[in-house]
Amino acid sequence: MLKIESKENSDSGLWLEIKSGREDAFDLLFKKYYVELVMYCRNTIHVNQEFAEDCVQDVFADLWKYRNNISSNIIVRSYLFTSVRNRIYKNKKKFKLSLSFKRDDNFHFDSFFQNEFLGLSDEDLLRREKLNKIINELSERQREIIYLCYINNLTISQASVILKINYQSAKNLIFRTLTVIRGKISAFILILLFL
Amino acid sequence: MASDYSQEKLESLLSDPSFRDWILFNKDAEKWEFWTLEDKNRAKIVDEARLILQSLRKHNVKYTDGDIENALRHTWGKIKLNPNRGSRKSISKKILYAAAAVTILFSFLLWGYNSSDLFNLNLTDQVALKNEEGLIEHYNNSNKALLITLSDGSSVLLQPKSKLSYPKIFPSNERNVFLSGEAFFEVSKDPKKLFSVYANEITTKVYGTSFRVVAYKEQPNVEVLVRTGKVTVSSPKIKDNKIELVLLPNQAARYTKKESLLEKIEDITQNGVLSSKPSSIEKLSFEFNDITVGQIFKTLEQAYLVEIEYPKEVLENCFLTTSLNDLTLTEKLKIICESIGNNSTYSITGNYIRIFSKGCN
Repeated sequence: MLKIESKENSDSGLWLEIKSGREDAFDLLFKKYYVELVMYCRNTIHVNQEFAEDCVQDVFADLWKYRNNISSNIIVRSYLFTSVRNRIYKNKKKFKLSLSFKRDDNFHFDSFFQNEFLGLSDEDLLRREKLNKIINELSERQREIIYLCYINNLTISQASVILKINYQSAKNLIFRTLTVIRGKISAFILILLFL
Repeated sequence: MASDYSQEKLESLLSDPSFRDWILFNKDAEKWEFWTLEDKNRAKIVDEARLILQSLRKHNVKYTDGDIENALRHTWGKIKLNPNRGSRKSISKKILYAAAAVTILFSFLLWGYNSSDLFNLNLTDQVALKNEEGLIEHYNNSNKALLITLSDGSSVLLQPKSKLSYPKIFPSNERNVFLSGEAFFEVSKDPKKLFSVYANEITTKVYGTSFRVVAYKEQPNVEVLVRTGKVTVSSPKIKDNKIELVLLPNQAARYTKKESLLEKIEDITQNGVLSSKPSSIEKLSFEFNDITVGQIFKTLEQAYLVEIEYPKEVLENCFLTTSLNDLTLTEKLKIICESIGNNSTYSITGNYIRIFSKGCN
């Protein structure tokens, strides 16, 4: 709990400095959140890299331009995710992007081998590969809430605001998503056992 | 079934930031390992949670610090496009099209113009619209170069199939324009206001000079060629650091998009070095020694692809000696009018110039 609080403090401190016109504070905030936001768009909503980068940069640009119109009391993390999400959906409608990303399984495979997964047993690698596919097969909503709560450090309450659903719906959504994931994992393990 | 209870446990682990920090960043490893071993049943849940978390986190191998720096610079670029807007306006494109058409028609009428010989404005040849950033987007649909005069007096000869985006009036601290395609720039000198041309990935900066930029989307290279003055060319996409080339007259820079390579070309007068030939304006000399005003206007017409209407009879016997090199079109016209004297003036509308004069002294 203490850890989260200190993170929020540094964010709100940065935001106050940004509001008073400090460009270096803006740079720091940008560097802190840029990759996380872009990867969120890529992994959950499945837009391509250029589009995601463009949207995130636009959000930051607007954050600076309209800083005087935004309250000092925002929770920066929540605010950024909400803005990025809104921008992605707004721009998607405008340019009618097609979701061709789903065919790009190579994306998952590459990140698979380029990190500490090396040295794992074959069974483990298989499991992770399977889980990648399971995550891919989830709905956008399901992916979003899992990412927001378990990777992007937002509370269920904050995630519900970002996804524009009420708190109970968010709780149910997480529960259902985990059920789906676990169901598919155990089905897979059963198959493994019979190989 | 036991799974309900285990799912609850799983959820509470996953929602614990300290647990996530252990799995993803190995923080407090000792404490968590001890906790896991404390109870036989915990290991299975921890294993499940670990599998889920580590699969969710795709590794960001593609993003180096340099990439993030570039993205940040790009973002500041977007901010500087339109820095001081207090509120957002969204104007539907249909209204803008209608407004543009009405404006062009209106200025037509203001001229009291009735003959179609000299001035043939085909509305489809040039399309000038205001885009969402408040910039004018000028697209040259015709088959010859188009003259655009900017609010600081700079002139841009925009080639066919090219587009220039610029603010109607430059702000007080800088002059930024955006080019897609090819254009020849004559920038009026203003040491207080940097003039920047953004074309694809290259930025050209000057305080006052003349140069050509070739930046077509489909072509593999972007080029900047300097005619007069000093020009700085930089490319933001280069990975290690920001490279800036300083070019002097007759030098050029070529940016190869594929390799992100920016190189300097020392002498553009050598054949075969560059992808396109210089336009007539770059070859003409504007040194006039006892030349008739009519002849001077003809030279300008050729260079800038404009039509100049002037009172021929009154200016028939006027001869001028003047050097108009390295000046923008508006500066040239100003000097010509001052040289003719007698309160002579000029006006420019797009490609059409009109001279008002009662004759020379």
